[in-house]
Amino acid sequence: MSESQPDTGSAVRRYALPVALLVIGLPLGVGIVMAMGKPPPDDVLFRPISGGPAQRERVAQSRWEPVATLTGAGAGNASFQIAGGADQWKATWDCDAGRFRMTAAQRSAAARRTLADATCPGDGSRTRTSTGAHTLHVDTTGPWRVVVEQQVHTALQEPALAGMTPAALISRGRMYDVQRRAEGSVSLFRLRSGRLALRFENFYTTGSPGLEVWLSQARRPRSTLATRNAPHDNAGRLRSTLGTYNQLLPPEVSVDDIRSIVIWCPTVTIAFGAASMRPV
Amino acid sequence: MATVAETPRENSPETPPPPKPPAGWAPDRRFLILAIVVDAVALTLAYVAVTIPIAGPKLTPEEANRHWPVALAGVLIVVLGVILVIVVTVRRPAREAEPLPPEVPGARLARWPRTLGFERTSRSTIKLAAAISILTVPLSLALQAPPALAWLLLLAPWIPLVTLEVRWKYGRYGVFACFAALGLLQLLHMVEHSVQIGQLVQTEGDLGRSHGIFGQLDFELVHFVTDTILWIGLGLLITIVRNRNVWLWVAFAAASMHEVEHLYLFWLNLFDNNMYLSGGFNGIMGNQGMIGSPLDRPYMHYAYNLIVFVPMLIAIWDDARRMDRLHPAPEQPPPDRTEVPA
Repeated sequence: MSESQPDTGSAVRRYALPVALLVIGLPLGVGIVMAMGKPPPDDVLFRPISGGPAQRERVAQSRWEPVATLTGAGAGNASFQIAGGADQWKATWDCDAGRFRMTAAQRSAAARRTLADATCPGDGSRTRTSTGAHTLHVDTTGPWRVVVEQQVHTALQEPALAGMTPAALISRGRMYDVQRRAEGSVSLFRLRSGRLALRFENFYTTGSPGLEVWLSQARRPRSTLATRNAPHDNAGRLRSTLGTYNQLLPPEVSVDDIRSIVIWCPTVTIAFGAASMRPV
Repeated sequence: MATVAETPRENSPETPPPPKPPAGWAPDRRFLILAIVVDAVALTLAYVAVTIPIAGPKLTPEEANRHWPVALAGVLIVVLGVILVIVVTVRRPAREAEPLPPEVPGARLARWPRTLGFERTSRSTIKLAAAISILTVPLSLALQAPPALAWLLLLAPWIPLVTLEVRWKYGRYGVFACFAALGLLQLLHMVEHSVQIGQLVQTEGDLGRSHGIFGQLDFELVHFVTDTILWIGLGLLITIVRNRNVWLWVAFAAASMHEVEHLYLFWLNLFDNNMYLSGGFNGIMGNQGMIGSPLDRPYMHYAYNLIVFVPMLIAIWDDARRMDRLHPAPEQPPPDRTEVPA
């Protein structure tokens, strides 16, 4: 037996366990954690429907939709309808003179709820969660204005605009994923007024607040970097993350600058999805 | 057994018998602690990375590899630095190592090395600084001070004391004072990274709201300067203390890997900012970076800093113990009266 043997044994006894922890335990443990845990789905939002077999429904990112704009001078009544699936509704008011008192009631219920009681000039807003037909009663002496909006997460469904005929179609593209999900198609039309408009059909993208539509000169942007590097115009807020609807483009936009449409998230600064526009 | 019992202790007080190697499994305690800490942190980070992914831009593999020559240049710079440290360390004329005073058999070491604590500052001053520091907490809460200001206020009473203490220690212990100061800086750096991880957990991965305490300073230049100072500082320390402290080499190796990452990131931030902002900030080892890993940038850099910090702490601890023995406290009674149990 050589003399070095006890030293080797001693070194093994000293370092085997820590080395094993680092070399075997670490990758094994991290691998198990990675395999067990799946990131929460960020691409599709589902709403469970109670009763019956489990069903899933795709929903849109919540958005505010105008319901009614009511104006008047002195006392008055008005009615409006809040959609059954609305999350909430909001009445934003302003008045010029006197005292402003506003109440609302569901048509089915007798009780009236006070939404505002203030001195004019002034403004404010109030939210409610009731749905269905409502009547609004305003009691004041001067001119007033009330804007009613509802927050929904349903698909935005709109018919095509009058000028969106095959002859007015300039280009069309299918949405594809970049860093998030994007589905459906998008068409570019020139309306009779000369203004450009997009028509989203069966469109869906991952829900996120404040998404924007970018008109890019990149042919087929495949990444956030490619989107950022290409010259582009911001065409404003995306109207809905789900549905079939129209979106007017700013008047100053030139059709030559639109080679692709990108759904851009300014909060996280990433491209969600895009569509390469092919002339028809 | 009998032999040991019959040997009178006073017969060989100056030449204690060499410690017997343990017969069973006796893992190196500190290496084991390091392995457990690294494992625990890696598992925690993996769990957090899976459950709280960072919602940020990512590069495609082709884009991530676009600037590989820059990463390679970073590796070369760091390798040159490491070689320089090795050459200087080896070539430096061997200085007579200061002989350590012989260990007193049965002597108990202080729980906390004396040289790591306040020595120059009086107890009353320390108590006053602590009281002021604690009082800033309700004050910050009452004033609704931003976190950065509250943290600064909390630290403020200690800054002059620590500065004077480090200066005094430098005069007495030399380079050990710089070493301890570097450790303190890395501790504060770790606090920033730890707070950022906490913020990410709290905000469910919203990087925009998770920039640590001094959020305004969370930009690439600051990271680059901080980590380069740490890397160069560790390299310089090695050339000075030579092979006295193995853990310093471990910390230097980890800091070198981190430095490659920051050299690449700093270049990218300066010369291809669009790419940096589009996911290039994940660097080389971050999620969907050039090489890539499951860890997004904040998690990756937390791990980097921790694997620098833990061996650095052990190295500082070892050196502090050594300093304790080399420089006994002047006011301390002789060790034979206080440290040897009766």
